[in-house]
Amino acid sequence: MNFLNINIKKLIFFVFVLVMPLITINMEEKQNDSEWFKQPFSWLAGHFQGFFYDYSAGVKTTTGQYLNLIHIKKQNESLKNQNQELSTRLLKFDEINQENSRLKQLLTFRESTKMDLIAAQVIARDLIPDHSTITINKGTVDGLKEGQAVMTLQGALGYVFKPLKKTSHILLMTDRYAVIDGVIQRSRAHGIVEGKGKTGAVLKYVERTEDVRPGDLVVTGGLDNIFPKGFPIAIVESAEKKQISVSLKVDLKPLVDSDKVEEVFVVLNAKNQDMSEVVVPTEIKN
Amino acid sequence: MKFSRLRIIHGLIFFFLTYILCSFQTVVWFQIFGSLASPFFCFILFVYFGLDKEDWKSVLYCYSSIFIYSLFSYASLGILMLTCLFNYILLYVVKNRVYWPGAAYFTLITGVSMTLFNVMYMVNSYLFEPHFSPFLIWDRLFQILSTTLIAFYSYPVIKRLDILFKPEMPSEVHGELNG
Repeated sequence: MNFLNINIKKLIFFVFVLVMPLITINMEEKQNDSEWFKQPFSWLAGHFQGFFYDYSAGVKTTTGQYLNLIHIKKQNESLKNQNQELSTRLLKFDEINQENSRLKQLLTFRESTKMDLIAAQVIARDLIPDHSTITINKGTVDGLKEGQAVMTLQGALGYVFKPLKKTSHILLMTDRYAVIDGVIQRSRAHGIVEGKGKTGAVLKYVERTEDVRPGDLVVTGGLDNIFPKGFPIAIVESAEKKQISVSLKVDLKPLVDSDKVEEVFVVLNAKNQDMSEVVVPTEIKN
Repeated sequence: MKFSRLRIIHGLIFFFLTYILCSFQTVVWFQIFGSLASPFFCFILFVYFGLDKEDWKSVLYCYSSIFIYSLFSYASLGILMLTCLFNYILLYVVKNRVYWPGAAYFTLITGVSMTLFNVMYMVNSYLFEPHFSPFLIWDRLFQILSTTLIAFYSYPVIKRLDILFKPEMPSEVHGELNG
């Protein structure tokens, strides 16, 4: 029974489309009137929203944290690498810095004396622990000869016993075969400094009547024609008067720790210099 | 290449290896470990030759290695020779009575030899030197133990090197008899 031949479905659709905005407009005009039925839905919607917000926020945070973790992990690795690199550089820098200050001191010392000196580096030790010798990187081509004195800024170290073309072997004063002419700086008592292995040295042939006390500085006497006069050698550790001996038993502690020496000076020509005016060892100063 | 020439090359390789080990011990060890007593690396080769080689070869190596040691130390050649030859005699006597190939035996003998080396060095120093050798108990003990330990691990390496450069005996030519 459709006289006007109207499409009912289309009509309903158009009516719905037109009526919905009208109803909405009408409802907006009377906001407070219909609140009672909206409230539970709003409440539910609010809770849903809250739940989804919390959920999405949680997901977002977790995802963010995970992504951050990946990023942090990468960053951490890169920072670790950077840290290692910097630590290595710092160590290298410290090493260079120390070497620089050592070389500066050597240079200052070299400039303050009129002796002909040549600086050298320690490159090797003795094969057998019974002997205290070192090898330096300077030899006969640099003007080194047998019997030349080897010293550091702190004090006497030993002397050249086997110069080769490019290297030289040095007999340290702590070796049992090493002898140096020594004098107690305070009382001017003469003696011979002899090595006694790694532990130190002794001052032999000092007369019983001489005044020797622990803490006295022993310097080179200059009679051996190896070391310049007045260069510090060791400190007196103990001095003992034995009943049956004509001389004192004097134990010495060398000023130079031969295990830690890296750079040395070889005296090519002492030019009769009295070193007591030039060098005062740091241990004594303090 | 002739067999005799190959034998010379083999000898030279171990001669230079002794040089390398001595240099390593005196230069590299102290750069890394400072004043800590170093293991006697080259003595391991000495024991190897003493145990593993024919008499004439081991004697020759023994003398040449003593000569090399003296170049790297202030120790007198005479004292070194006396000490090392005494050790060589011990190795000679031991290997002719008890011998089994392998790292365990080699390590054991190295330990004994190293101890004997230190004891004999001190005895010889006391008898023949005006200033005798200091006791240095910890240094010596450490050297004996570390050398013995290293001997165990270095035995396969030395053995392999030895086999690698070992001169082969020329094989005999076998002819066929006709008729």
